[in-house]
Amino acid sequence: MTDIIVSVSGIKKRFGKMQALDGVEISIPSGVSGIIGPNGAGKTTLLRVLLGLIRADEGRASVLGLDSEMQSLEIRRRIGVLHERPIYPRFLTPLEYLKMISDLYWEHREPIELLKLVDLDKACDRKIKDLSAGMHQRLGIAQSLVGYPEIVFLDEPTSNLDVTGRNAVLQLIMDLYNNTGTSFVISSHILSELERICHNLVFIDGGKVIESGRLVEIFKKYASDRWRVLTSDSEVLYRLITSLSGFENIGITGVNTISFSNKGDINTIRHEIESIAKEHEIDVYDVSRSTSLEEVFKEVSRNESE
Amino acid sequence: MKANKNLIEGIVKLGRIELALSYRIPLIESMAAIVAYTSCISVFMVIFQTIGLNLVLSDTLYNGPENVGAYQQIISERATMSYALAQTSCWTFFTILVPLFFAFTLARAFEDGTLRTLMSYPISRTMLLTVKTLVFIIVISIPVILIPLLLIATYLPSEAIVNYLGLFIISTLLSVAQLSVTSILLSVLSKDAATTAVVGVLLWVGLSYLSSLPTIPIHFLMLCSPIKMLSNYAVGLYPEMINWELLFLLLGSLAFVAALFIIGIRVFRRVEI
Repeated sequence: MTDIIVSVSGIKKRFGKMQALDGVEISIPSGVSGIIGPNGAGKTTLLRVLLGLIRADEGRASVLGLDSEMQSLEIRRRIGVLHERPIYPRFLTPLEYLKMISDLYWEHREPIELLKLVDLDKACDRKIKDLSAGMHQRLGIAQSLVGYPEIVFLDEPTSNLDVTGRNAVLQLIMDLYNNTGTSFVISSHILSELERICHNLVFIDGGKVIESGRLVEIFKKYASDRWRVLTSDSEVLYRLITSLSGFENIGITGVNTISFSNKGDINTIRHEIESIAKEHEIDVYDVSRSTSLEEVFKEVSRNESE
Repeated sequence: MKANKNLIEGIVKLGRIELALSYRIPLIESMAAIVAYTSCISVFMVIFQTIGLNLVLSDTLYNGPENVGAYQQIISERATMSYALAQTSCWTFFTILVPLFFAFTLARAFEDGTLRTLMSYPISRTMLLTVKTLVFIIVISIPVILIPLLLIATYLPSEAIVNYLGLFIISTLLSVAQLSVTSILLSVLSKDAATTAVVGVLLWVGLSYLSSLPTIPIHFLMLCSPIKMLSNYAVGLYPEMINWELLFLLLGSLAFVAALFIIGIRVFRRVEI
């Protein structure tokens, strides 16, 4: 679990006037890792640098100890990739396509076994053009696993799926990690998904890494004193809380939710909130630690901008 | 020997993927339609004239048997004209379509992410571009060579075909290869299908115009249109030229294609995908 599979040091990349990557430094250990950031943060550019598809202006990147620029072919023999919105031959069946791809690897998994692995074996004779979006994505994961990869890179693997499809893909990634031991590096802007499956996280914004490390440690660092209140009137309660001492970084996070930072213990905080709410006839349904990655990301971004 | 076998196997395997991935748009169907169209015109012409000839021959009113020679002469003239028209239109059609097709197979691959998908597998860029070009040349060359040959075989005696068959195939392949590697360069530099198509067609039309000029030097003709050079040779425009000079010019044309291809590969190896 502690081997470094991806190492990036001082990577800079500019497209015209836009600085896509600005001195990125990361070390990703084995396991399931997420690269998080808003659209245009530089996630896909970073993946393209790691795969040797583009050259960095400055810096060095390596995957499995291999230089991403000079040893790109060797890297691609040992990894699998699922790009965002991939294109496969529409008139082939998943089985035919996987057989074709298998021929490109020295050692490969049997296509039919792969289809079983991603639960696509029942659709193995259907044309790719007739597959649903979820099936298409599962085929994408299957093709990324053909050559017994040590790492699989997934770029926005659930971006065009509905809730059911997303859950299925996330469950599949977890099962594959548990059953095959393959490491995954997942780029996504959907934070709730990554917090379910990732051991490690890298936050990117504006082409810079603003935080990275193990998920539990990041939560401990940013979310241990972060709280969330479920209430009947978030706007009024927000104004009331701002007058209390010890409450910082208060924000309305939804019609019925407020979040804030407080270093006190849960009983004291709950008592203070409930008392002030009762005085103003506002209902408070729940006061709990905020452990969503979205909150953490906001906190990290706030710290970075400060 | 084993290394060569592995290389050929690799090219064939990648060629299958390339055909499946890049030719998903109806390129093959379009070309089949063109072939079918020109073939149908030729076949109908032959059928109608044969029926007409048979009717005339069987009808004593026209005194057919005595005039058979004249009728055959008319048919032969019309057939030659239709062959020339079909060949010209077919060749022009294909060579204008070559840059368009290549724009759709390579430049479009940059745009729609097909190239990114291919480059996520263990394939070297050199191998990928080589296979793309080979598949493209084969797909284009087959109809470009077959249609004129079919037309010639329909209308002309077999010895006329045999005399220039080898040169015809070589010069056609060279011309298609020239257009293909030029299109590679355009595709790789622009990474945009529309630009590749427009610039490619303009380039082709410009070269066609230049090669039709009566004062065009033969060495330039060799570079821009090997098939035109061969046509000129075949009709006796270069009476002083001997075989080894022709061979030298064709080799020069091949070297030009190879040089363009190497430049294309060098650019492609550095291009951002």
